[in-house]
Amino acid sequence: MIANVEARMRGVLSWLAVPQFMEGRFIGLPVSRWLFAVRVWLAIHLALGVAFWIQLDGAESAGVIAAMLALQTRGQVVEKSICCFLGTVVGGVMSIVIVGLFAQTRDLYVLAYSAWLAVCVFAAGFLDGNRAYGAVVCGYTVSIVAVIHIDDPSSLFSEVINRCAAIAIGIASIVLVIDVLAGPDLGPAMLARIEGGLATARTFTENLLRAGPDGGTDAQTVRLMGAASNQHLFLNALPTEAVSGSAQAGAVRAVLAALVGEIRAARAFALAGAWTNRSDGSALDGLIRRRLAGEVEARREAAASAFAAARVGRPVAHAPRMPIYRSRENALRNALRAFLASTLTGYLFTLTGWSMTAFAWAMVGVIVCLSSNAPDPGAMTKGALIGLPAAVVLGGVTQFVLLGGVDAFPLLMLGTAPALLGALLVTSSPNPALTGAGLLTAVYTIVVMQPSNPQSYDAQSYLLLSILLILVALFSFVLVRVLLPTCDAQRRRWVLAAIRRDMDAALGGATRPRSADEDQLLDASRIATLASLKTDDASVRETDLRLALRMGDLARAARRIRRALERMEREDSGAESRMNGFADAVRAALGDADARRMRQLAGTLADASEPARLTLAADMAWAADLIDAPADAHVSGGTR
Amino acid sequence: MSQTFTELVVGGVLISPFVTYAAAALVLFLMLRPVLAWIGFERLFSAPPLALLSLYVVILAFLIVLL
Repeated sequence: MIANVEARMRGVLSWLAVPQFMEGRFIGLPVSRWLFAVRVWLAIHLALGVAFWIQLDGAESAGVIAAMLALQTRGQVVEKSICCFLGTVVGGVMSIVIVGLFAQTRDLYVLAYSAWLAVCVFAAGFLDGNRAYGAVVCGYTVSIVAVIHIDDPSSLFSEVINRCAAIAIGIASIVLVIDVLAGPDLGPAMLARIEGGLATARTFTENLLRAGPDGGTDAQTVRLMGAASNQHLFLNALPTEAVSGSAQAGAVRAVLAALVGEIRAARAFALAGAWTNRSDGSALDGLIRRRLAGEVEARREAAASAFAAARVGRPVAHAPRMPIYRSRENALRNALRAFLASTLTGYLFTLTGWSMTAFAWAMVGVIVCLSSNAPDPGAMTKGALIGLPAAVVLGGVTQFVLLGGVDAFPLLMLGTAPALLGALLVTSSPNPALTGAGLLTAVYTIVVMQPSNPQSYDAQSYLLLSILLILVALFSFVLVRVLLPTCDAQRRRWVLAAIRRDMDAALGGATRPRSADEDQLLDASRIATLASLKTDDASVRETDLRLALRMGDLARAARRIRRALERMEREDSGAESRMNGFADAVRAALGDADARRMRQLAGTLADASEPARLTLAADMAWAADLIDAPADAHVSGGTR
Repeated sequence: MSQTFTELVVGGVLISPFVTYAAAALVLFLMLRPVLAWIGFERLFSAPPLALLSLYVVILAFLIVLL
């Protein structure tokens, strides 16, 4: 068993008789959170030290970037770093284009900058995790490079180069520190989570197979599917963490697809036993149940095989991608909100005539971009309303009380430790609201202090910056709530509409460039999104989930039928093939959602000897059952 | 005879030669990744991230010395 560096450190420190430090908790918090805070604090000061050493203009950006890239695991840090760097390069290029074209026309400058923010926010709406962050970086890089220096467009190119250099130094620092200090890896934790998920799903599906609809609830189904779907946030980081990461990520996606398939098949098996609305009686009933039970078994084997491959980092054949649900309507609203917020703020600050308002305008752009990347933009701006004033206070106390005029870099490091370690401990909280507020506090504490070589202690500059940052927090909070707010009821309608469109496309035969496993994962993503939306009426939520599960099941069955028909037509070639007429009749029945006709056609295959035709008959009969299913059909865990 | 380093000039901005070497080393490192995965490089070390970092530094050093 390969020991890692932390285990060796633990061994050394235990020999030094301080085991209580490395295990359990320290001052009430887990040691892992302290280690995270110390790693990031060291990375921030390493970045600042290198930036000061090479006399980089805007050296504080290096420290800010090291703080922005603070994530728990190595893979996530490296992935976010890559997205951040690429976003900075694109943003830098767009800065040059916007300033080059519109520097002499104030109104067009404001509109062009706001439009670029909107484009980036719209693009981020279709990506997930750190990739969405990269799209957002494309936008706010223009804020930081072009807008803050709006009065000096001739220095733009050197600002872009300095910004890219600061980003590179920040990235190198955080990656170096996390590698040398053995930051936790994403892979082992993910495999442990998935192993636990496989065991939980196995118990759940066993109960459904044994006890029917009383063996589980739709809430449990949705929770398991959601847990599988949410792994997409981590999967993108696996290839950046290890050289075998790409193969491991593919194997994990195959596990998740098999897991979701097993859960859906087991739920379908439980429901099939409860529905007695078939005109054909027991022949098709038995066929359906054997088909679904066989699918559960096949999915379990696929999951186990893929998990074994994931453990050793072996690639699997035909590893699915992991499509996620993203709402075009939501992305468009976020983009429009960013455009309006930036435009209104720009004109408002221009009218005030205050100095340094370009900085405030840029920061509003940054906060609005970052909020659009969050699941709940309103909550993120609430975090900014807490984090930015906290950063102002912490920055002021650190600069004028703790440091009080010192100029030596080691003293700067020690002086910032209480504020930054405290903010980073809050960032490492499992509560997402605290994570956002803590990260903004850490980042803006560095912005407020404006570390430089030599360090400046200008109280007037600090006061002006503080007022502007508090205004930025207030503006962002109000603008995000007032301009095109999106409520969960709207999101719920959009998700259900997307599921219905997918079902209609499957019934109508529209081709999609996705495999069956990818369809499973996309459907799980939609269901997980729907389940995460809040509602005042729990019965509405349950009804929506039931409907979504049913439409997803019908879409899946329709696609399976169409794929089977295509396969059979290819195998049974011939102009006068009986299969052609049969296939056309099945497709017509699917397109019309004609359950009676589907059952009649399924009945003609029920006595076939070929397994493929029996499977097709079972799928057709199951699709007919789904079309005719009662509206309240669900697994109920013993309640009706 | 001292080695001469060619500075990178981008739009009139002089960029340190080290940046060129670092970027080239990164490209070579990324090209090596599939080979490292195939030979099971990570299983040879107790701290694979440090080993990969060291490999990158070795590639960088070779480029600076040889080019």
